[in-house]
Amino acid sequence: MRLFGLVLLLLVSLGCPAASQWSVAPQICIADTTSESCSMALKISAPDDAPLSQPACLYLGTQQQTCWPELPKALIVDVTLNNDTTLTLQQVDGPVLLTRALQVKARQTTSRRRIRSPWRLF
Amino acid sequence: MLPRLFSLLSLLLICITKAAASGCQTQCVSAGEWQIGLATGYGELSNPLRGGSEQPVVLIGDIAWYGEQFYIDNLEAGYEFIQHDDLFSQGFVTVNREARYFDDWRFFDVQNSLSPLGSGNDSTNVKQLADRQYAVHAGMRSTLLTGFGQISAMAQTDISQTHSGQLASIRVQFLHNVYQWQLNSALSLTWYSSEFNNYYYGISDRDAVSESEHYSVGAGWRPGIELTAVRALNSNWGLLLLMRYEHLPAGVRHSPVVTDNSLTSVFGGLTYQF
Repeated sequence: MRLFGLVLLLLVSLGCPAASQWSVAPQICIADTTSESCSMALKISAPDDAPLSQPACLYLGTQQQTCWPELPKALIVDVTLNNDTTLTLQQVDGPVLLTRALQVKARQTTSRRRIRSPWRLF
Repeated sequence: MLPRLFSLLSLLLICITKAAASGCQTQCVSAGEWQIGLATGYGELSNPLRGGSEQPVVLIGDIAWYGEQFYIDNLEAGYEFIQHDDLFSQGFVTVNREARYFDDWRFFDVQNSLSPLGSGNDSTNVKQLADRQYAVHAGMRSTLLTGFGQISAMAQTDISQTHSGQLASIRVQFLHNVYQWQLNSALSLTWYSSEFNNYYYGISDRDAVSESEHYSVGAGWRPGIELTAVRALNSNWGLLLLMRYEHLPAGVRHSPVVTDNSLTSVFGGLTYQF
């Protein structure tokens, strides 16, 4: 019985998101083709103990996207990606709160005409 | 032997030239991805120079990357600034490999026997010549897609100040499928300036030969024909057959260092696409 309780506790702790971590979803953006940019709505949720009262800004790569005087507990941001990039949430003049890699995938690759005949090195 | 083979090929090419070539039906690449291929088999690259030997070839590389407009295709890098439905134009930079006939080494992609050039001939011999360098050319090319094939016009100039010459060509290319083979055949006519021809095939004070052997070459035309046949065995493996023939102009043929009237190359083998 005690063993069952321990297993249940373990399962519950594995199944629930850790309350002490930021969550970002989705982290993969699916474009139609490799040549198209990809847009998605990112949902970012703060952990319970996050310092939300300080002003903070969101960056994609080094490009600043949006700033907040106070961070909400959960926020939704529309982003457009051309390539894989890194999302960063940082307090103004303060520490980095969150860093996540965002990937761009394509449903299908774009085919284009090859200008030179293959095997020209021969 | 090889010229006869190419005559037969030309006839074959003319007979089967009924299939249309168009945009991206047979010669396509995936944009934004590297295309890397290796072919292994056996082939020969002729050498028209006195004292130069035919080069066996057992390995050929093929590497290309195409973006929406920028591209790298083997030894050429360029930017396609016109992309209409049936008209395409590019500006490009490329390495001209005429110097390979004067060398006994090749680029990494073509492995061959490293037998030294020169066979102790008593006439003007390639070993007596000063080094002929590889040149870097910049050029423009326009291609028109028609119902019967692709027509390309191209002009290049030396930007490496190696020979300070130019070349220009017109080329008609046909793409067709015969059974499970994909055939890519082309007829071309290329003009080489006197600077180009003189640098490579002229003989002057720079060379270690007597003044009586000095030779100057004018501009000239090279007609050419080529055939590439590819058959996919599966998504990675395939078969490859390559043949090229280029007829040298009289000015080049009569150079004391030239003994052949053409440049020919033949290769057959197995390919692997990574």
